[in-house]
Amino acid sequence: MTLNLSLLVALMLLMTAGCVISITARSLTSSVVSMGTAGLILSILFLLLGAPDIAIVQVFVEIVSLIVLLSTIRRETRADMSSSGLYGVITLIIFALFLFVFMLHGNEIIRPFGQPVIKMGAEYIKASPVLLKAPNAVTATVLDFRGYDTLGEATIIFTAITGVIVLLRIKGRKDEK
Amino acid sequence: MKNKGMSEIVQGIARIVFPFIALYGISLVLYGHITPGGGFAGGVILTGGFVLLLLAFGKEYTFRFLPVKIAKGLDSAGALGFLSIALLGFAGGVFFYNLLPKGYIFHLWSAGTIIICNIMIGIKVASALFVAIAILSMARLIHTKEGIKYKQSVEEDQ
Repeated sequence: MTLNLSLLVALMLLMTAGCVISITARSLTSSVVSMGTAGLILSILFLLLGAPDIAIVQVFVEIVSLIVLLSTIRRETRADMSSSGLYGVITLIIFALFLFVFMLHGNEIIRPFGQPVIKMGAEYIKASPVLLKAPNAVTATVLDFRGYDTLGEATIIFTAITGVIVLLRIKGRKDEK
Repeated sequence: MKNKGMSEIVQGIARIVFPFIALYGISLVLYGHITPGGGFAGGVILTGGFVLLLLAFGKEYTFRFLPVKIAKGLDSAGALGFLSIALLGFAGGVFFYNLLPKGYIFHLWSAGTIIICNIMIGIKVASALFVAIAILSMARLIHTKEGIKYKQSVEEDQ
């Protein structure tokens, strides 16, 4: 698959525009919607870069989080955001300049696309159809070669959900009167 | 029952679309080792189907379909199942050892423990995200004179 570089750059610029609008927008609703735009374009980028697994997850997580954010805004928030003013713009420009210099420096030392520093990945890709009989190398890596990482991930989700349940519970809660 | 969800059109579409979403999620979980997908992606898509039900039909209908209590249990069961598969590897010598027969490539029951891990993670992710969204949807902040108070709109024994 040949990568259309101009298409990628155009999508990235659109995504950046979505992020900037979501920071600078006056109303919370338009801010949330442009954040969703950025996330959905990110999933298209994942698809074009050959990662359909991540693209599927990105689409659905983005949609679910948009639903949660929009319903939260509709219910709880009345007041709109005030604009950040000159101070925010100056901070943004300084940060962008710093990032630009950093990326100029990083461009010199970064390795070419598809040639990572760690050579282990090629071994995983070679071994997964032969050793494990699993054609999808991503799942084979995540669930077999790197099972520890996935166990940690599952623990993180479990802890997060426990935190949500404990914070938003109604029983056993002392009412602050 | 009092109809608390969205309009009739949304409910009709949701009734048609939900089985397909659920089927797609389940197939992503089951075929995770053959095609792109896996436990996490399939679980998130299953949760998306339940969120659609929650939006279209309201809380009471969805919680009759999948109570929060059972979803919490499924969450813990998925996590424990994944951990027990990992511990089962000690029978073969090391943690996470893939000791089931591998079968043939491109077959559904191949790749040893990977498919069971996928199913466990799918159950875990789907029920965990559903619990989070259900509890967030039950939460209400009430503005009173004394300040902001918190309550849950659905009084459920948890």
